[in-house]
Amino acid sequence: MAENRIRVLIAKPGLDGHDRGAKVVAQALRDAGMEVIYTGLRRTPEQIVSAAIQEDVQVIGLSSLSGAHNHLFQKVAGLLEEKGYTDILLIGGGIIPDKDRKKLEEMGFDCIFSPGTSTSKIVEFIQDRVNG
Amino acid sequence: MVKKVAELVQGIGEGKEGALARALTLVENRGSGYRELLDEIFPLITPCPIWGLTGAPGVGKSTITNFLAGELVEKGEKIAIIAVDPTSPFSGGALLGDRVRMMDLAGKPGVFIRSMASRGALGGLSPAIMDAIALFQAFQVDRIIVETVGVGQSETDIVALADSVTVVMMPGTGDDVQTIKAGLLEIGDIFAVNKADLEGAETLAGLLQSMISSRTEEGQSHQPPVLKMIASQGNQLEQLLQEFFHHQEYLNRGELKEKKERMRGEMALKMHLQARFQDLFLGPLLGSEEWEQALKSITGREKSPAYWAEKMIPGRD
Amino acid sequence: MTDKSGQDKLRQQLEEWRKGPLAGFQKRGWKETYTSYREPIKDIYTPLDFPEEKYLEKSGFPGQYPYVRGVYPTMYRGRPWTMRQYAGFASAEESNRRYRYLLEQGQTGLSVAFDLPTQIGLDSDHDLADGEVGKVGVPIDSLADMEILFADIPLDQVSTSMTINSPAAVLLAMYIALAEKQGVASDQLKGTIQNDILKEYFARGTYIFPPGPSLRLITDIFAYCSRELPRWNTISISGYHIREAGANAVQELAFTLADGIAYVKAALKAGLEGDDFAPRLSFFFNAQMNLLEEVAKFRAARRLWARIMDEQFGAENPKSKMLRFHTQTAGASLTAQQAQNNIVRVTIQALAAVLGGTQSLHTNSYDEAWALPSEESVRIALRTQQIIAHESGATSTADPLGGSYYLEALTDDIENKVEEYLEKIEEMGGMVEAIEKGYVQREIQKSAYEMQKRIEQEEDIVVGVNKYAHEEAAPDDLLEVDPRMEKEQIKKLQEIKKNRDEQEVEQSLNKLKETAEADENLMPAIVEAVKAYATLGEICGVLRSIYGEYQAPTF
Ligand SMILES: Nc1nc2c(ncn2[C@@H]2O[C@H](COP(=O)(O)OP(=O)(O)OP(=O)(O)O)[C@@H](O)[C@H]2O)c(=O)[nH]1
Ligand SMILES: [Mg+2]
Repeated sequence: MAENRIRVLIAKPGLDGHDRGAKVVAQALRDAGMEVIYTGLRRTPEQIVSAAIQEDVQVIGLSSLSGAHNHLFQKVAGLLEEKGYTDILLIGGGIIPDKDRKKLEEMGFDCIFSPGTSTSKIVEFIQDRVNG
Repeated sequence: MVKKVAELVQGIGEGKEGALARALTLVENRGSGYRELLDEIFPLITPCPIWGLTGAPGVGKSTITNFLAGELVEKGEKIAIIAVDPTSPFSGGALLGDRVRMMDLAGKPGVFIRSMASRGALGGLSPAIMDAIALFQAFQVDRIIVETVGVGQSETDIVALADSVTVVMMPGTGDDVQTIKAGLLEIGDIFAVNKADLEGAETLAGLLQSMISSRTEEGQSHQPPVLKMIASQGNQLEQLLQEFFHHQEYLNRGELKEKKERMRGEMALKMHLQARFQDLFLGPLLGSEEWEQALKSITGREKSPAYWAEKMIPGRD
Repeated sequence: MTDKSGQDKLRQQLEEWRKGPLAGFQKRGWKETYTSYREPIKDIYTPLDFPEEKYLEKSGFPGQYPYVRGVYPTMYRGRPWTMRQYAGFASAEESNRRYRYLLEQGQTGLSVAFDLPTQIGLDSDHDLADGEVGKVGVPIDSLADMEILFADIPLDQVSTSMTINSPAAVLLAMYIALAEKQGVASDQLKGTIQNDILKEYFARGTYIFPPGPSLRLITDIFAYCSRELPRWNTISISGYHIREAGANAVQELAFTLADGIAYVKAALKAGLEGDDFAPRLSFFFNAQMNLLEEVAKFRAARRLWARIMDEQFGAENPKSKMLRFHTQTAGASLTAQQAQNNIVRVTIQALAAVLGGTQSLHTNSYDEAWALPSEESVRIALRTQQIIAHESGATSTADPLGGSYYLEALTDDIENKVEEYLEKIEEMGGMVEAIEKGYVQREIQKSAYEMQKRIEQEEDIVVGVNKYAHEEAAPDDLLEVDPRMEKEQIKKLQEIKKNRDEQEVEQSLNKLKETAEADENLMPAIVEAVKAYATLGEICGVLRSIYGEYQAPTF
């Protein structure tokens, strides 16, 4: 009677306080049957990675709207790599232009979702990648 | 599979957070090898005090936990926190938000926070919590704090789980005589009336105090204290920490501690047996030919469920 | 229509129309429609929904209580609204250059956007500031940065609007100290600080202290400014961010007005005279796509505030009862897909603000949500306002839509629904309690999530996103801040710390601590500290050590 549930960490790195998107996605993932750990605002990359390790999540979702994504997202990816957690699915969202998206995807992000992405698309992406 | 279990056991022995985290997932998922894992780590266990915090949603449990753990870590302890939130009965998913309120502990060395959903436990505690505690004890933590939302069954479960239980309440949420009667009085070793900055705290504390006094039996040496506090301002939290220590000492003095140990052992045994029964007997029956036959007969009003249950027990027919 | 028999006749014929012609056509196609706050909209509105005999009581005339039809008798025929475009630049030097250019062009209104560390009271060298310095505005660590920001700008010649909340007292103190250095008397200073802390807790997230001390800082500013800076707008009570966070129109109004009520109560409790500070309160709303509902929202806002100030607080001064507001078009409604469609969106939203009687307006550039707005897009945004002002005829008379049965019914309905919220919040013990209980946050989250689901289920249509979409490349040129900037700012900060009189800093911070503990007005002590070049982080640090930091509730 093994019962595998997808566990996801939703985090907001940096000082940006706009959490509408993060919370909408968190609710959508919960409604899709996932266990969603929400960290709250103003987390450092170190805190996010530490939480992801302790919670043993399969997915980390980051959201940023302040333009600090390049720096903060890269730091999270770097720390995960350094600690040997590259198997965690790493996704991001927010106001992120195309060339940054490409850069982040090269740095270890599995997907950067653009504004207006439907939550069902995010759900499907996670389910495919984690279970598939 | 065996190799994986061995790696996890070794990692836990070496104090690796990553190994512990994966082991926790394995037992929580009842994944393959989890029983071997629990068996293997058993000799590594060093028992440690387990403190419980329970109460209605939003009364301030995480705020209190944040403080308690912070203080204990300052003293050099290694702390584990298990924060349990309910699983949504509709989707099976859960929103685990306790970390939001444990800001000061984020990334702090010496603190391991694990958020758990109640999963199948219908409002009660997930059976995996018992096993999680075992894993933490094998990881050599000095103390475990379990935060559970006090709804239904979990309130009574926590008594079996924790050495010392603080029931957290707040004024103005229907935490009145009605709910107090509903069983909370039985389970608290300590009572915290939080949000004393709001109206009605005085009344609630007074009410609690009188109910406790009237039910404490003659000769019973521990009368649960009632603390009024403002957790968000750090007010009276030191006091709560001291009360936890007092209760711990009180347990250590008498034979209560052994009784608790026994209770925990019994509960864990029962849970594992239930799980095994489920795996071995119920599992194979579900959807089997006999199952369908029984259902047909029950809905056709031929034979009762009671009849079929008796008949389906292996070795009975 | 005023007599009863007329109404009965109308009612009867309406029923017949519903049963006959309408029902017949409904079979061919009929869609339920709703307001943003999910109230079903009727098939048709008639004089039954806005009886004439209520006109004087409910509407009156522009410039008269209850101000539904506008706060000034002439409205835009006297003077159009102020077209105030807000822009953020990464460094104090760059902003200064821009300001001086604008001044040369004859513009006198400056607006300052600060970066996030500044908004949260952290110096640029703080751990949490890593990667955020200069990202969404100017970093200000000390008076020295302020000196650069306003170099060669005589402060008595300009009006400065600062989007700053939790540490508003400190930034205002720097502005005052700078004026003193320039030899400008403080009663000559004109401008606005946002200073609206409550919405930060549930909609925008740049809070520092818990609500109690935050409210004290705000009332200290009210008191200080009514004495020293009589021409300063001490607060801009903002619904804009509440709406951006996912609230509907009713929630935007209800939570903004509830914030306003909380500020008035706090000020009265602090011993201020209502008619002294209330005329300096101003509001800031969002303009969304639903044109008529938005116009109704603005009208309802005016009537509600007038009634609140009159009935609840017994204000005497008419200015205390006038809700004056700034509007910004809805940032969250802009789509990355087919970006030029946003020009049309902004036009409709801006029109809603104008038909709703706004005092000033910012129109978004069609690409500004994710890209460095091009010169062209900035110009189009401003031209949009100018076209409305000069070509549309919307300014020809006051409240041109007043009297539309539908609009008046919506105005009443929004007013009623807002009042229900206000009563509920009052029952909880006021807005601060409602926020601390997480009630406000939950209401907004619920609304945001449902809105998202309606879009995904294509119940709500967003052109170019869930309908009429086509493949296109994502836009590319986001405002990029040179990462070296952060290092330079930190170096500047270290320089200042090296060159100032440490003893003076320490003394002023000690004095601040004593004042905070003693419950005296904090403004003079903060002014002294900034003059000694104590940093924003140091000043907020002292206050943090006394007040603690706000912790958000879980959700
Ligand atoms: N007024 C007041 N608010 C408090 C106090 N203690 C905690 N809170 C607030 O109560 C809210 C809930 O606190 P939590 O610590 O998350 O409560 P919880 O019991 O862990 O909540 P759940 O895990 O959701 O069941 C937060 O917004 C806290 O800031 C207090 O003493 N007074
Ligand atoms: Mg909690």
